[in-house]
Amino acid sequence: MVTLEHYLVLSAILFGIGAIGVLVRRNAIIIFMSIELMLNAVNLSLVAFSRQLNSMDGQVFVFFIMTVAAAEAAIGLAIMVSLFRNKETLNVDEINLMKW
Amino acid sequence: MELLLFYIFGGVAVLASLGLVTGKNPVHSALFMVVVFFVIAALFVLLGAEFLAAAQILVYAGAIMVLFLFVIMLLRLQPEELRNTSRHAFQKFFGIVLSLVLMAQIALIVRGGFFKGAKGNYTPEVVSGFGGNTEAVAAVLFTDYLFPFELTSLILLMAMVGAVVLTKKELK
Amino acid sequence: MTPIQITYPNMMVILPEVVLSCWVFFMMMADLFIPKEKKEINAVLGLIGLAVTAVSVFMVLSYGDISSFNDSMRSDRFALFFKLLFIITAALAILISAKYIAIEGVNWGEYYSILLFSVVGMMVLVSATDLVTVYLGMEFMALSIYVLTGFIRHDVRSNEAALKYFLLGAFSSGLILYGMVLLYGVTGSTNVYKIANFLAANDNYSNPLMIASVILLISGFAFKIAAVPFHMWAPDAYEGAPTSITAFMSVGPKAASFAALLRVFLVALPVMKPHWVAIFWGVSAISMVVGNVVAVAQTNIKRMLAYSGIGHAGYILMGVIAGTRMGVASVLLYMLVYIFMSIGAFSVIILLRKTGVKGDEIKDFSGFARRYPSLGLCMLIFLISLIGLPPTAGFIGKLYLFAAAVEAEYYYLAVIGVLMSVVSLFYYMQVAKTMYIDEEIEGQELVPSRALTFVVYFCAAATLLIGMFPDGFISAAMAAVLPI
Repeated sequence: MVTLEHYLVLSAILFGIGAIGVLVRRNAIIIFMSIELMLNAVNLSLVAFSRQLNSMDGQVFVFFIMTVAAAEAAIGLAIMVSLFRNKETLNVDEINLMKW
Repeated sequence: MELLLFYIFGGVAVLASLGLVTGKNPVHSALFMVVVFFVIAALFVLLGAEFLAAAQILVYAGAIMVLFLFVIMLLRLQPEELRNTSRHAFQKFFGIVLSLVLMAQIALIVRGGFFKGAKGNYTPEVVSGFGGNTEAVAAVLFTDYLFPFELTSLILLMAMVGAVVLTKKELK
Repeated sequence: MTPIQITYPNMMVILPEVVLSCWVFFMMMADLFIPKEKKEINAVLGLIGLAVTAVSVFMVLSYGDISSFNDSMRSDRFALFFKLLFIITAALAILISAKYIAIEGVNWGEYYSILLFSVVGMMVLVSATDLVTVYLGMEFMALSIYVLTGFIRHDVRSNEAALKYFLLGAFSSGLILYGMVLLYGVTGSTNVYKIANFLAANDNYSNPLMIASVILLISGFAFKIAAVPFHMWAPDAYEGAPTSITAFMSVGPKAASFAALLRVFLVALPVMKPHWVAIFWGVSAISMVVGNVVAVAQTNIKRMLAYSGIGHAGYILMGVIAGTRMGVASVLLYMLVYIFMSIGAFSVIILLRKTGVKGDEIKDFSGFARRYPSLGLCMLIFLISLIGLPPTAGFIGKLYLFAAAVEAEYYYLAVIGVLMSVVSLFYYMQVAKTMYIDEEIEGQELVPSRALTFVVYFCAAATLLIGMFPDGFISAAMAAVLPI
């Protein structure tokens, strides 16, 4: 029997991997992908809770998170494209006109 | 059977996400990410959330991922050098603290018994009474969450306008 | 299958949001017919839209406290107070933008539409009483601000600021979200009132998952209000963003995030108060110290104001920590005061911006007050108010924050606050010294914009007015306090 705890542990592991990716990677695109991974981990917990609690709120919340993630991806990638046009790098170490 | 599937999908998800954060080439990371999206969709099916599984594949694997790959191709990104030095001492510290919090949390979850939350009305019987998961989601989405639903349309409009303003070659 | 029953919601709850969004749609379409040389018309349209929205806010005020949409949105005096603040902030931001974005070469109508969209997001955020609407409002506001930060798309500094702000902001949203999920998992609801009821009925005080949730929520909110240790985006984002947007985001999103923070912690989690007060105490104290001490070393005035903003976030957190009616009222009052002094100071910086000269280094202000005595005096008023000395509004605001902290018996925090205000005297007065004593330099021609000088004088007048006749403003803030 797969319990709620199974899903929560998996979700916490994925969230942790994503968070560590954000903190140690330098490529802006990979950092952003790690953030998407964190959001996916959150979604997994929400759906697991939603089944456990017999409530649809969690699933609807996931739906909204997905929509916002799509909007976020559009804007984030647009920012990266406009930076790349001026600077030709997405390595956050080289993005140092100002202190990082 | 369900347990076996969970371990297969969960294992793949963990391995693929490790591949994502350690990959040198952004394209490889992006492909690992597609794998993560698909196994999470599979886990949604295991959890009885068929609508979200479909949405997960359509929105994440379909739309967001393609956007990522487009940008990676467009910018011709070179693989980065992996270095072990952290960007910032603070971030190293914060990363360690965050991982510790998560580890502690995992240990606690395994011990169990912290979730005594108020149960909702959507038992599996009620959901099948609606005609399935998709219908049940719709029933909640268009009644209780009507306003947030409309709000997301504004967010998407703003994102569209914003992305165009930031990237279009010539603006009049 | 059963047809979905839709109950007709009380639309008055979201009237200001609806009015403003409809107006933005209209502006987007009108922009297509406005020729390139006359883009200032967009600014005028934006101001009209804000005026109409302000009228709608006053209309809703007469309905009292109302909730609708399954209790996910609530229109009470607390929310309406903040909505009026955002309208004032956005109006001032539009006035200082019109000439400035033309100088930066980004005079497009979308600037105003996105600015107003972010105001809609903030309005949703302050009315939100459900974690879903809190999240959506926060993202709507934040995504708009990311775009505006990177709006000068041919300027590398603006691009970089947007990228840093975006990555760290998205990361902090992930943290907030995880905190919200744990809260949902433990309590079985996303509605702040249901969460509060559940926690009051069931003892979860030492449930480690609740504590983890509180930690994650605080980390995320600390990012949004730019409090230490999650402040590192602020100086870069403030420096790189268009100055008009810096002025806007130093006030608007900060006020909105404080409002959401008050609602989530005081309404949904009062049971957990000892836990979150302990963390906020530390965050507040470090923010005051780091913000004010690091500001001393800055040579760029936008960065200096960013660090001073971090310090101010620390001061304002004192009101949250106190958690009393007085504490909440002092937060509201300080946000009102902060609008005028912060936007005023940034407007003076914009006055010095012209093609080829950035005008945002402290040394660019050499002899400014001797060359332009009245504008120099206004800048001096803003600086004095930021320090928190009488007879300005900043004094009243800080007085109430410190009084709230003392009343709730957080003496050490109040002492740190006072000491750090003394430190802030040092770097603010350095700007004043540069303005009054240093040699005049070449190239200090002002941006020829009546709107901009109007904003400077208006903000200075408001700062003095609130400082000398605070009674009406204090009672307005007291009347708008959340029911605790």
